[in-house]
Amino acid sequence: MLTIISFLFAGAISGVIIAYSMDMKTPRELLQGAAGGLIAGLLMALMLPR
Amino acid sequence: MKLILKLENLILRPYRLAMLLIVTAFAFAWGRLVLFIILGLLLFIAAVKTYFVEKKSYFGLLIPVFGLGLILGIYFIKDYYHVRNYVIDHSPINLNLVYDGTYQGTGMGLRGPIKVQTSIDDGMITDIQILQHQEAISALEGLNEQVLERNSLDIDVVPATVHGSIEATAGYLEALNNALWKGVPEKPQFSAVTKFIHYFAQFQFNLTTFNALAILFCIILVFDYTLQSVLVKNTGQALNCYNCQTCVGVCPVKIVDEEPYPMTMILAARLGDYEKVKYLSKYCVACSRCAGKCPVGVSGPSIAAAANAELIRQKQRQHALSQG
Amino acid sequence: MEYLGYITLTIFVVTMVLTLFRKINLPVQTVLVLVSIVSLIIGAVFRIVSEGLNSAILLPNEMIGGIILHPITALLGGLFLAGALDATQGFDALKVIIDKLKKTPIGLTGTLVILINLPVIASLPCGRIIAAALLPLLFAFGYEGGMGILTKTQLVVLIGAFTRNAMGSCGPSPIGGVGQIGEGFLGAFFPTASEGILRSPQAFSLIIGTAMTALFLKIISEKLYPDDVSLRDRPENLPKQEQTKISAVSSPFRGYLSLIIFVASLLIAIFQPFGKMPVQTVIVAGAILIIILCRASIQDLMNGIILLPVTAMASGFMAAGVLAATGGFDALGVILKSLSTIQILGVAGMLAIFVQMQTILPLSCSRILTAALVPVLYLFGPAKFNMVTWPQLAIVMAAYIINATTSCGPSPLGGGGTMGEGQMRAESGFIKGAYTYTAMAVMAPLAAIYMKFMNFTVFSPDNPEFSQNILTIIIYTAVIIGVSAGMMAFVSRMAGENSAYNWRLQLIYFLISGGIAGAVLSLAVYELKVLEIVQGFVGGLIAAFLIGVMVPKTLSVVRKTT
Repeated sequence: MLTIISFLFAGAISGVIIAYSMDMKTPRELLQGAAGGLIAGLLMALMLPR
Repeated sequence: MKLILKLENLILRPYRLAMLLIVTAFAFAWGRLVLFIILGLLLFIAAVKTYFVEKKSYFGLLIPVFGLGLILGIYFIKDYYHVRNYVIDHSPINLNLVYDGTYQGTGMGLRGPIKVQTSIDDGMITDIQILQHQEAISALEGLNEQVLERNSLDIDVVPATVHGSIEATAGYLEALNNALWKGVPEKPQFSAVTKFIHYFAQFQFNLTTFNALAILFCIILVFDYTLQSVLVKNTGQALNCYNCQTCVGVCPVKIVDEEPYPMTMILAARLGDYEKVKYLSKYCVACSRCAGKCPVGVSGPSIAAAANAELIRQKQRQHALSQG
Repeated sequence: MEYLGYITLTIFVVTMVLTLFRKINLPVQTVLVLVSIVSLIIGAVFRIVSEGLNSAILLPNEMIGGIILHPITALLGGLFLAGALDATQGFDALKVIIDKLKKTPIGLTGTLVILINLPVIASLPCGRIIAAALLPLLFAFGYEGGMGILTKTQLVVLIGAFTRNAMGSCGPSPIGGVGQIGEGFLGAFFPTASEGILRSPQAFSLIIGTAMTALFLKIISEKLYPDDVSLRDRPENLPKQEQTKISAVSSPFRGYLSLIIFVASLLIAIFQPFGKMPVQTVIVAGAILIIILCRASIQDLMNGIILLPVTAMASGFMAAGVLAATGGFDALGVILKSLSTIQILGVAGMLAIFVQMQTILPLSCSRILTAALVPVLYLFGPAKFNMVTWPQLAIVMAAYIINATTSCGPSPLGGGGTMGEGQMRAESGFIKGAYTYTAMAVMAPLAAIYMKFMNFTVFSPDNPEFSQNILTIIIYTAVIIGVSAGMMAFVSRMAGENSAYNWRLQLIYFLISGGIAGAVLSLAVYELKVLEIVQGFVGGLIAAFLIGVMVPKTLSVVRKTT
């Protein structure tokens, strides 16, 4: 479970940074980036040994 | 579908793969049966294709061959299971029925065959030697002593902390069982045909065989894939391609049919798809910027020229064949 | 006989460096095979003189014994599966799914974030496979690609970050990934190591590293090389009817089917729900199923083969085998051990440099050097030199492997980064700074931290010595991101028109970040020991210097150099 949480955290942070880097800086876009990152992190974590 | 045993036909991939299949079947006993079934299926599919596409029929040749194979297969299975079922029905073996003497038998362990030799005298097993095995050293420890002590094949398995001990023990007992059964005259024997097929096909199928075949399949395909460029003159440099698309970056054309150019053309040459290379080479302006920028100096224009030359040679060969 | 090890090691190192700097103009694999043959001959001569002919005859066997078949065959199987997916338009099905995602609440931004991280999610054995399939889709988001949704700057960041993620995704792959080379060695202490002990640290650091690459490209690379990307932005005065050209994305049914089979094969290979079975069997069976059900051909399968990683791994193992047989590894171990006796460096500093070795010498595929150097790293542990314990070795291995995995991106020898540069129409070397920086300063220390504070308990669950500490991971991640981003912003603000000045500024940035990375690695390995942390910092400085000097000052002749 902690593995999944750590990847969700990493994904969210990563999503925000990527959104910011792509000049998508409005709060909505940053949130969307975080959401995308959460999904990416979750998908990765589900395929890893826990 | 004329079978022409000329060395130059090795340039053709289907021919090469069929040769490799046959060589592998002979080299690896455990895979023979599976590989020959695959070869048979491929021949059948090729015959069907030839019939519908070229309107030529080879069924007159193939059907008797397959028919014979089917009859031999059914005979083998019947005979094999007749003997096997006799052994199962009369198991465990009654040692009093075994004639005095020394016998050898083989069974299948985890890593390969286990061969044992045993001596029996008046219903008592007097000696057992393990002649050959590939198991972990301690997987077979203590088994001989147990059998001798109990004068029976009903023994305890070596603890599973030793890797493969369960499979090794089963293989050992199978070998011992096979050896002892040789001393029972009432046991039905395999016919000569069955013995030949059994030896040739090594009738074993397990996950290890399948995995080994899967790996061999990969290795053969990759080997053949690289061999293609080695066999065709001047296309060998295509083997060096890193798939990095540096050439795409400098090429004035860049994209053809939504695929990166000239990398797709070079990879097609590597694969032996010279028709595709011929089609793609029409877009090449022969500026050689790709050769200049490529980290290993692969040149799109020179590969295109070599592939086109090979295509012409292939067409000349086909023309010569059709002329007789 | 000791001299033999030094001789073969020297031959190996010198030829690798000469190849890297293009003094030897042959493919790396060819060089390695030639090095192996020459070393074998020299080794045979030495052995005949010192031990007799019988000893020399054993040399080829010892060399071949160094070749580990499992990662090579897993890689082959993985390439077939990916080739089958590509041939049956499975990637088109993926594009359709991505297109539909844009219309969900996560919008374009969220979709792009998932797209950028897709290579690590897909876990293919070579990032070039998915990069080749999806880079044209990314390009299409720009004006020149047709959709015109993103500006030039956004497109550069998108393509650069995606390529970074792709050229690292081969590491955590369970089907022939680079990490599998190291996992076997850790099995001596962690019984279940081969189930993927190195996968999570790599994946974790790749997510963060990808994001920092995006930031670096945005803030620094574009400042340093402003004229070196020849993409065009959408003109302002474009007529309304031409403003958006939507490319229709569609896929036949077989594309979806092959995608499902692909994902199922991957999941079966990872989780083994039908009992233990070799990965190779599962993925070849998946490939054959795709051929039968989705009507692909063997030719299509072979089309998907990327020879580079296969030949890289085979040649790397061959060289490793020769070095092992001739004592080259022992010689390297002795050299590194004597480096560690330098007071200012110590073991911590030496490890901080060693971990960055493959970013210092980036080859076209990480497997070449990984196959050769992971055995050396293994020797630092209790197996030989006993410089570190098993858990410490696992931490260092995690940092080393992610650094190795991502080294193919910035390689000038046909590294995968050139795929991104080609797609974004950038000059060669544009991504070098971003990629090397994030590998060195972000990914390596994060992998070490993750291994230490999270992964041990997964692979050694009954060991009370290990505990999970997610808070520590969060803090370290935040600190590393904060420090890196802060310094990036500072460098960006201070950068001017003078490329030489900018380059020096970037080098200082590299040095500070590298030092911090070395210190964090030492923290992970040795905990709160001040001397080791200082030594790690110094080692990190040295590694960062060697990496930073190789980042180009200018890319094209247009820029001023005074």
